Amino acid sequence: MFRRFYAPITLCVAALVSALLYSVFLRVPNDEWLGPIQRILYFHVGSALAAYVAIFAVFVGALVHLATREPWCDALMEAGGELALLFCSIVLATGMIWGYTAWNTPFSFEPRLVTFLLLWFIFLSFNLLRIFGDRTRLANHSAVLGIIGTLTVPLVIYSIDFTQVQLHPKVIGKGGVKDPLMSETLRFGMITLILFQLFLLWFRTKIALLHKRLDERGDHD
Amino acid sequence: MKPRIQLAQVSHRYHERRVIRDITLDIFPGERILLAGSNGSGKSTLLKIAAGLITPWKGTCRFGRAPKAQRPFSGFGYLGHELLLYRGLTVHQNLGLFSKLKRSPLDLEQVLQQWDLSDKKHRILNELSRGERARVALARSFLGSPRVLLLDEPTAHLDTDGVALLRSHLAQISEDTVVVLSTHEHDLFRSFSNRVIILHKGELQFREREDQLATKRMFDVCATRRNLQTGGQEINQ
Amino acid sequence: MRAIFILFQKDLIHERNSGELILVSVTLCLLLGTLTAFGLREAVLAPEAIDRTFGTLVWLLFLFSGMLVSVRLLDSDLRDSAYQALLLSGASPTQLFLSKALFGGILLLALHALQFAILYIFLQPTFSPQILLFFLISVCVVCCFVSLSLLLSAIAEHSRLKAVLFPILLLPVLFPVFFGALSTTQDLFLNQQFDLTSFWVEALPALALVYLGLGVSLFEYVILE
Repeated sequence: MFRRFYAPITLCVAALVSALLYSVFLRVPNDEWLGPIQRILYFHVGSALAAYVAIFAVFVGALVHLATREPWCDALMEAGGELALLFCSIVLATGMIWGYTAWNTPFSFEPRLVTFLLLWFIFLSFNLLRIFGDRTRLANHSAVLGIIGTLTVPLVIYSIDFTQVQLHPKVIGKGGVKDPLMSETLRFGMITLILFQLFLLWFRTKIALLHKRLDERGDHD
Repeated sequence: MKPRIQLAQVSHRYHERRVIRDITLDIFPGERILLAGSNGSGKSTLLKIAAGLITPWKGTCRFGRAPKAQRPFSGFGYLGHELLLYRGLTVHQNLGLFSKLKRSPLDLEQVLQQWDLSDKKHRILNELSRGERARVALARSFLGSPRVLLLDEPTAHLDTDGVALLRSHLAQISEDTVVVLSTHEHDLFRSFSNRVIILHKGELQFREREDQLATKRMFDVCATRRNLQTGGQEINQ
Repeated sequence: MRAIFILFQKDLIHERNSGELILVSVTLCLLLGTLTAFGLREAVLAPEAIDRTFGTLVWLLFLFSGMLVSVRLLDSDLRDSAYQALLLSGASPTQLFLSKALFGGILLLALHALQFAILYIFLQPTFSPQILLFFLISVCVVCCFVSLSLLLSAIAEHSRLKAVLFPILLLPVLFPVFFGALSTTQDLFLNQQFDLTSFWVEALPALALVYLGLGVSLFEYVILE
C-alpha cells in the first residue's frame, strides 16, 4: 500500500540531509572560540535526540511484543537496537572530538558523555544478545532486555545530573547558542536527524520483516 | 462433551524451521491417544504445546474452560526427553517436592513401592543409572492422579520390568483421564489406545479412532505420504 | 507464600546435598578478598588513601564475586528443565522467581559480609564501619543485583556464549545501582552518616522495589518459550 511513497519519502529525507550539510558547512559562520570544530555540535545534539527516539522504539516494540507477539514488534526491536547503538556511537565520537578541542581531553567523565557511554554499553549488549541469543526465544529475551535497558536510561540521566558538576554547555535553552543563524541551524539539525533516524528505523524494520517472511517461505518444502 | 485440550491452527518453529504446521485437534476426556510419526515429525513439540510449556508461534491452545492458556495447569502429568528432575536431590526429595507443590496428600512410601524405587529413595538422583532416573521421572509424571497425562517416548531407557510397571500403571488410571502417548513401540500400546494420531513433517496425516486400524501396517505409512493411501485402502477392506 | 517457602526449602536442601554454590562461593570470596587486601598493602597506601578507596573496593569485589555466584543460581532448575516440572506441579513463574531471589539474596548478603570482614581486617581503615547503615545499603543493592541477575542469567543460559554473555548483559544495567552503592557508602564511611539530601539515599530503596517488580513481571517471559 505504501510502496508508491517509498521514492518520495526517500527523496525528501535526502533533500533534508543535503540541506543540513549545506547549512552546516557553507552557510553558518565559524564559532569565535572553537573555530570550525564547533560545527560538530549540529550533528552531536541531533544524534543524541535520534538515539533517544531509537531507544523509545525498542521500548514500544518490547511492550507490544510481550502483549501481542506480533512479528513486526521483533523487527522494530531489532531495528531500534541497531540504530540506538549507531547514534550513541555518533554522539560519543562527536562528543569526544568536541571535548578534545574545548577541554583538551577526549573524555572527562562529564555527565552527558558518561550517560551516552552507558547507553552505548546497554545497546551493545542488546545487539550481542540478538547475535548470540537463543533464536527460539530471541524475541522474548530481547523484549525483556529492551525494557530493562530503556528503564535504565532516565535513571542514568537523573543520577548523573544529581551527582556530577555540570561541565557540558547548556546547548538547548537557557542562553546556549546565541547567534540566530547558529540557533536556527541547530534546530534544523535536530529535526533533520530525528526524521533521518525515523526513516532508517522504518526501512530497517521493513528489511527485518522481509527476512522473517523469506524464512517462513523457505519452510514450505 | 467439552474437549480437555483444544488446538486450533497451531504452528510452531525452531530456529526459523517450522516443526508443526496448522494443527487443529480436540482431545476429549477418556481418550487414550497413540501419537505416531517418524523422527522430526513434531511429536515432542506437539506434546509440549499440549502441556502448555510452549506458547505456539501461531494458533491457540486452550485447556478446558479457560479462555486462554497462560501457563501449564497443575492437573497435568508430563514426561519429556529431559528428566524434569533435580539431580542434586534424592529420589524421595524429588517426589516429595512435587507432591507438596501439587497439594496432593500422597503416601510417598506407597508411590516408591509401586514404582519399585523403595531401595533407592535416599540416593541422589545423579548417582542413579539412566534407566533408574527414567523410572523416577515416570513416577513424577503420574503423581497426584493427573487429569491429563502426556508421555513422550516413555519406554526409552526402561528395561522390561520398567515397561511392565508403566503398562500396569496406565491400566489403573481413571477412565476420564486423557493420555497422549508418543512412542515408536506401537505394538506395546495398541491395545491400550482408542485413538491414533499420525504426524508427518509437522502436519496431521491421520487422526482416527483405533477401531479403524486393524494392522501394524497403519503405523508404517507415516514414513511417506505416498504409502498412506495404500495403507488406508488395505484397512477398509 | 506456601509454594515460595517450599521452593526456598528445595534450594536449601539442594545446597546441603551438593554444596556447589556455597562452598565454592565462600572459597572464592576468601581468595578474592585476601588477594585484593595483600595487593593493596604491597602498594603501601597512606591510611587516608585506604579510607577513601575502601568503599569502592568492597563494591568492586562484590560485583565480581556476585556475578560468578549469580550466574549459577538457576543452574539446578534449568538443567534437565526441572523448572518445567515445578510449573506443571502448580508453582508459578512468580513464585519461582521470588524463592530464587530470597535464596540468592541471602547467599549474596552473607558473601558480601564475609568479603567486607576480610577487607576490614586486612586493610584496617581508620573509620568505624557503621554496620547497621551499611547493612541497609547492602540489602537494597543486593535486591537490585539478584533481581537483574535472575532475569539476565536465564536469558544468557539459553545463548551460545552463556558465561561471557551474562556479565555483558548485567554490567551495563547495573551501573546506576553501582553508582548509588559507591556514593552512599563513601558518604557513610567518610562522614559517618548518610547525606539525607543525597539522591541515592531515596533512589536505592526505590530501585530495589522497581527491579524486584520488573523481575516478578518479566521472569515468566524469560523461562517459558
